[in-house]
Amino acid sequence: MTPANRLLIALSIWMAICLVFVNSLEVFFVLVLLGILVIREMTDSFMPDPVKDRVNFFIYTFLFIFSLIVMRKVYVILSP
Amino acid sequence: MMNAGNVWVRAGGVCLIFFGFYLLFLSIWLLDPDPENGTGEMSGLFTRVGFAVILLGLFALFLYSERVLPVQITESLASTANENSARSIRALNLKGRGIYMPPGGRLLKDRVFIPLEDRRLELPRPASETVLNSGDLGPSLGMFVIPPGKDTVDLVESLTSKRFSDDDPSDAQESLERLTAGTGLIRKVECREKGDIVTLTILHSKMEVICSKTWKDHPDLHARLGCVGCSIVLTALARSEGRPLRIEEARREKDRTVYVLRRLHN
Repeated sequence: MTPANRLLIALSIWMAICLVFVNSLEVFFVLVLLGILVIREMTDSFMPDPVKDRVNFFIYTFLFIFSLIVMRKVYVILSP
Repeated sequence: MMNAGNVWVRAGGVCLIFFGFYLLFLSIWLLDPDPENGTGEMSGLFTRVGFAVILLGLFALFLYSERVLPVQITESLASTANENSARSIRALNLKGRGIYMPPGGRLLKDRVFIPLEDRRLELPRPASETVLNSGDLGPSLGMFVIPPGKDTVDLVESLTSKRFSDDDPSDAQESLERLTAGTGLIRKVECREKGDIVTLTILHSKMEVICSKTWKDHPDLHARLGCVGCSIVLTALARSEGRPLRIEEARREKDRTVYVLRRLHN
């Protein structure tokens, strides 16, 4: 089994756990982002560069979503 | 060439994405998000599951899929290479035990020196283009061979952007993890050190067929050069050690190949 396949399985398990225990979509996205970041860091030393690039693409996408969530929260708090 | 199994994973990924969008559609349009009739919670669940399924589909499409050579083709190529090496060594009557030499000095690429006689003479200092030592490089006559696993190690280094020669020589075990967890090519490598003696135990996964066939057809080849799979590990180890490694002993223990190597100080 290649590192990419293990990464896929680990992420699937993590998402299933998040789905069971989390009710909010925003928290779900943030937890998935954290999961990807942790797995990316743990597999860094032996992951081929092309796979790292693809994982990075997911990380950037989720970071964008995360920034939208933060901005929305800030707006909700600051709005009169 | 795409592995047939990966076609199904890609097709599954596309199906998951469509199913995810279907779930999102259900959550938005078909369910009334009014908290009084109790469907709001269901709508939220459908939304989360929908996004999770879409993500799984994207992961399956972009993370799982690989284009690889089928194992049978790789095995046949490696088998021919082993056969050629064994025939050449036998024809030249080389009796010595192989010495894996990492790049260094005038030698710009890895080589395996197979001495003519099984004696411990001074190691010659070859250049990259040297093929035979017929006496001009020192008393130890023999042949310099490109390790069969050299290109695979180069590939692993280029894919991980990390050179084995930059690794800490005192932690060879961690270095070799890149060949096991990193490629799936080798199931397990154990590296034990005692002074200048390194005992290497290799448990193959994809290369097991080649390794066992080599042991059966050419029992001496592992002590001279190693099969393609073993050569990958030996080349990587010699690079991370940064010094030549002489094969003192090569033996088969059940489904494992055990090498006893000696570090040479040149």
